[in-house]
Amino acid sequence: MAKILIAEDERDIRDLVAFTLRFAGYEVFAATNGEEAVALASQVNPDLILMDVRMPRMTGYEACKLLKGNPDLKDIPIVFLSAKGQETEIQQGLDAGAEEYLLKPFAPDQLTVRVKAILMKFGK
Amino acid sequence: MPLVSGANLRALIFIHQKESIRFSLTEIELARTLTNQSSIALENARLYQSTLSTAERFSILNQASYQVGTNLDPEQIYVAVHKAAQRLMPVESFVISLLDEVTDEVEGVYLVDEDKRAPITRIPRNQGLSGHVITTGEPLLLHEAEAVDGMDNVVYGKTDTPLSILAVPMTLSGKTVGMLSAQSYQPNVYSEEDLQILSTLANQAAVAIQNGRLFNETQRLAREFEERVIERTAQLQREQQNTETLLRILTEVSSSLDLDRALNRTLALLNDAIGAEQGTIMLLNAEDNLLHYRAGYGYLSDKVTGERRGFKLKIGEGLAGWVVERREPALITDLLGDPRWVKTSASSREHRSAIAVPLLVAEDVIGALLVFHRRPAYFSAELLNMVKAIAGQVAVAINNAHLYELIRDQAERLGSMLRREQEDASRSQAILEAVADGVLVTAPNNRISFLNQSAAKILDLESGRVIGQSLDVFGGLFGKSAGTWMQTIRNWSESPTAYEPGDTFAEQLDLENGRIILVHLAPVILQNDFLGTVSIFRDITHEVEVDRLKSEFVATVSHELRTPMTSIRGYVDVLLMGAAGAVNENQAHFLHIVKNNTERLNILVNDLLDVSRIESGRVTLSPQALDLREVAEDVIGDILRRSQEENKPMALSLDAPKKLPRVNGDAERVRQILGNLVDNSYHYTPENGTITVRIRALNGGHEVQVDVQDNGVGIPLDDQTRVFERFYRGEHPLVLATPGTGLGLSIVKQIVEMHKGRIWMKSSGVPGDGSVFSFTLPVYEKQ
Repeated sequence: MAKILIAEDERDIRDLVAFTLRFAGYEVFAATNGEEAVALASQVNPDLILMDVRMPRMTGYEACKLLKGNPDLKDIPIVFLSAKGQETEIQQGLDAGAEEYLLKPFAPDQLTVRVKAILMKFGK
Repeated sequence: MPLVSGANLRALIFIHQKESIRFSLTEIELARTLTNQSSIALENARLYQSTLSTAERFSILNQASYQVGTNLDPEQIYVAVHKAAQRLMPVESFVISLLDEVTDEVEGVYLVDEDKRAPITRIPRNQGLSGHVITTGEPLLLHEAEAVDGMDNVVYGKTDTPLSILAVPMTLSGKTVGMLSAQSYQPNVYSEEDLQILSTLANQAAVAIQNGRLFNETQRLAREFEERVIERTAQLQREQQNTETLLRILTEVSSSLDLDRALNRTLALLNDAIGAEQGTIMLLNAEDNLLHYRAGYGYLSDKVTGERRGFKLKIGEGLAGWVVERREPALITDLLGDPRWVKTSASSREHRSAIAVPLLVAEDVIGALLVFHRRPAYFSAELLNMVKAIAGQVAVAINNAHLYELIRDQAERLGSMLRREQEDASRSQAILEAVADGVLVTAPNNRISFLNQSAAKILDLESGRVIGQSLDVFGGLFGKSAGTWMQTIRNWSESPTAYEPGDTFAEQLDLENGRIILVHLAPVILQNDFLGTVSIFRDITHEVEVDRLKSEFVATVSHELRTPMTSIRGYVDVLLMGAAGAVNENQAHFLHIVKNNTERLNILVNDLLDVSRIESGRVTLSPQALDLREVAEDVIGDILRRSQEENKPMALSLDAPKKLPRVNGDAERVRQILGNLVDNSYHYTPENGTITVRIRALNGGHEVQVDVQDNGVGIPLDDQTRVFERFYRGEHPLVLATPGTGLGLSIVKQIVEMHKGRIWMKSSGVPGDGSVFSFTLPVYEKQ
């Protein structure tokens, strides 16, 4: 069973994502900001990280850069899940090393489909 | 005994005795002595008498001589001579005759017979006593009737012929000039001595008469001279008057450049000077080549009517026409008998005399001057000359006035043009100064010719230091950001033909002081001449800031809205998935409603963000060669899927040639355009409708046009002008039932225009006829 780390400061959305993914059968770990996410990632070594962009303490971009700068963690695919949908923002996310940039609001079943596709792509 | 005086025996003395005795010798001697004594006494007495008489005669002659000599009046001379002769000899008739050499006649200037004066008579020189004496130059002394009768006498006074006649010639410088004759009806009256005396008188009379004649001649000459002086003076006065008149007219016409006034004054002065009663000036009009009545002064002037003012004559017609055609003056004694005088209702029937002269300026005839009088034969040749002289001045004056008018008109026209131009320029400048936007004008040589206050303020420059500067120096003040702007001005000035009407240029300048300036540039082209450029500056720092804040606000709000929307939509989906337990039909229905509205809210937020970003210029296109056919197939595929999912059958078709030029477009945005249009068609066409996407190359292969046609509800005519407006939506129930914001078409239109394409729509407005939305995109051309 794949492990998925989610970083999301909004509790409702964090719970929704966690519920959806658990419902789909994944093991889910949750962090409330970038800092937590980086720390948790090195602990649990997830197969995929879903990361909000705008978070307190450490933004998704910063966390992404940190993770990608860590040789042990750099291979974990990261998917941004953001309400910021402008081209520049998306490009910024991809530049930070993210695999995909999914826009809020999202349909849970679509999210499940995307997560499944990425995990398959990375052979996990 | 004899009494002897000289050699003459004067008397005899007889001595008698009664006794016969013989006288003794002594007695005889005594007697002889006595006789001698007596002779001497007698001689003495005779000599005394003679001396006395001679003295008296000398005295009379002397007196007469004085009277005659001191007198110059011939008549008094005649009388004095007559009186002197009477005192010196017996005179009953007295004649003085003078020779008239001119007529060769003898004039009896003084004929008196027994104190009666006979009238002066003239006889031929070869007749009568006078003629004889004058011709011969010899005196005549006749004592008897026979001798007198033979003289072929001319008788006057008493019919008797005088018996004694003494006639002497009057001689002057050896020339006989007349005759003096004393006559008596007694025989043997005159002696040689009388002849001498009369001769003396005659000579004195001759001198005196000559003197008188000379005096009279002198006097006559003096009188004549005086008369001639008076006459000449009068003539001079007239000439002076004429000259003065001329001078006054000259002064008048030359001092006044107002033609009408000058002509009227001239005619008034002319009438005064020559006594004319009416003066008229007719001028040749260059436009119709007719003589027009121009000015009149005189007894008719008050009666001048409109008809007369408009009086016209052809050249050669009438008196004025005649003098203009012939270029010569006319002096007419009576107009009634002159065929040249045109008798119309406008010409006077009272004029009789006239002078008409042409008005000549160098070789040109410009009109005619006419003067009239109601009396026939009023004008003389002298007046004609005067009028001719005045006409010359008038012609020059008219010419001057015409030139003056011409110059004045020209000057006025130029002046008013200049004034207008100045006003226009000032007005334009004032307007340019007044506008809040900055205005900068460059001349064709790319130097700055104008910079208004607003521009100086916006650019933070002093206009005085900028005007006249070259564009390069000016452009340097703004660094790189002004480069394109400067280059455009240079391009236009170097090749004005490169400019196509409608071309404008707009650029945003970011100044070093943080200000943001929007500059609009346009060339000034007048009839193919490049006159420079006009740049309009607007300080949009504040607008840009406001816009940024707005966009930021919209972005923030959208973002903030998306977070709760994510939760709502997500949890609804989870519920609908049954992940949180089974939901019944009603619950599922309600959850679908929540989901749809969340979707609608999401579209709204997305559209708002799009509009905000497009408007703030933050949407940048990534144009590339794009196959519209592929895009259309993709879009149609999406809609077909929806059609199946939503169970709304719809016939979608693509009508496009296999070979289609690729367009220059941003893939995502072009898909947005076509997707939006096909999506609209799908929404507003009831099920089982048809949607056709037609693509074709246009405009010689420079553009591709896409039509999206449906047979849906269409768009009412009233709404058609507004469909591209923001937030505008129709009121058809199908529209209202469809989630939407009214922003879609507005965004599409802006994206099309960003691609330099055009968009429009057509609809009959009848439901079922549907609508056609069309747009064009430029064909991709390799750089």
